[in-house]
Amino acid sequence: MTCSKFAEALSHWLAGAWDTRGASPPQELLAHARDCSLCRARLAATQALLAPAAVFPAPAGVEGRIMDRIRADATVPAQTAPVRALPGRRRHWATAAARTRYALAGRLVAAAAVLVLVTALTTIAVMRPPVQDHVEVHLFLEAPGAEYVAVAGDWNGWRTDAQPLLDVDGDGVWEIRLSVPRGREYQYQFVVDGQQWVHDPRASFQIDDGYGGMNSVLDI
Amino acid sequence: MPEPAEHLTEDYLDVIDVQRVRSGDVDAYSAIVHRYSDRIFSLALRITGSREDAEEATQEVFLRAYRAINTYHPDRRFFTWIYTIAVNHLRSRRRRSARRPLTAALSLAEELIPDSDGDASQPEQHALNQSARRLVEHALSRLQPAYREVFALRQLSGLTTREVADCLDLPESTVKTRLRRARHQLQGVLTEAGVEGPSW
Repeated sequence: MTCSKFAEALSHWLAGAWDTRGASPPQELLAHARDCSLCRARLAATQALLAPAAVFPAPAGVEGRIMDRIRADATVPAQTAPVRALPGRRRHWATAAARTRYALAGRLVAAAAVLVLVTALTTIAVMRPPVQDHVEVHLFLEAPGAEYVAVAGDWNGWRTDAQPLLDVDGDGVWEIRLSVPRGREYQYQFVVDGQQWVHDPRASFQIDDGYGGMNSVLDI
Repeated sequence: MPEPAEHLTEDYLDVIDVQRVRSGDVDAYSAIVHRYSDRIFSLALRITGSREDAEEATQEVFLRAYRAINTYHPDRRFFTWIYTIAVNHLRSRRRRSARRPLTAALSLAEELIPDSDGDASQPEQHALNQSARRLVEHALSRLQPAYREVFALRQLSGLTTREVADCLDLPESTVKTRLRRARHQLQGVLTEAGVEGPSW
């Protein structure tokens, strides 16, 4: 068998072998591979990609390092009552309890209509009644095409990497929930892709940030 | 992949642990980390190709999942939920580091084609392994990111097509199409006509 014929035979075998993991190659392939180091490498590479799924152990100590970061993380999602299962996707997040917080919903809708041409459309909402001395807030920013979105504000020292938002389902809406001490006013902005500072157009108040932009105000 | 019975047990444990985390038990999260760290690391390694990058990504994925734990809906398997976070993070990471070459050393290919104990004393076998690793790296690097994601989840990680579709929020038909194209591309690279000598 020549190397050309080997390539043809390998291609033919491979076409049917993807779904039969670990299947042995035909004898004709093995025979040629024994005598040809190049084709032996081809066959070894092919078999490596066909091998049954393996789990590679994470590096030693990584679990401890993760938990160290979790315990040091300021964005603690817990310390509150368990979250009731939400019926469906995030569009239904406004539970009956949360809706009672929304006397200002009409104003927010009006603001959204004005800002419909703005690429970044955000919403802030108090999700649940305050627990003890903290209030959980839900910030979200519609930023399709963004690669990284974070919130920077008074409560995190205006760090641009401390509290990233997530777009878990890839629909362009980035979100984060924060537990913030109540009884004071906070200013914040979103940071898109580490460079673009974006105020929250749905916040009740905006204030000049002194740099030509606007800080959104969270008054809780 | 685990058997169905293991799935059920795992799903049950996930629900219990998530509820504990939500009620303020941070330590309960360590059980989740323990249960999924190897799998998230493996997925990250299959997509990034680098152990160093994969560990960083693994840490970040668990941190993000923790922060987003209140957005998890129990109607969905936790397993696919955290895989979705992992895939999204790996996509962002890839965009941010697009100009950075994959780390050649200690790569996915070394995990797929490890040297056995005796290979170090057999130069020919060692050289063969090296060639095969280079070909694997070359073949995977030729895949478009969207195809590599699907291939890593379905072929290398062993998820079902339905699970891949859930992770990527895609129709199953799209997953099947991408998988077929990924396989076709790999087939072409692995058997490409340059039989006069390695082109990788």
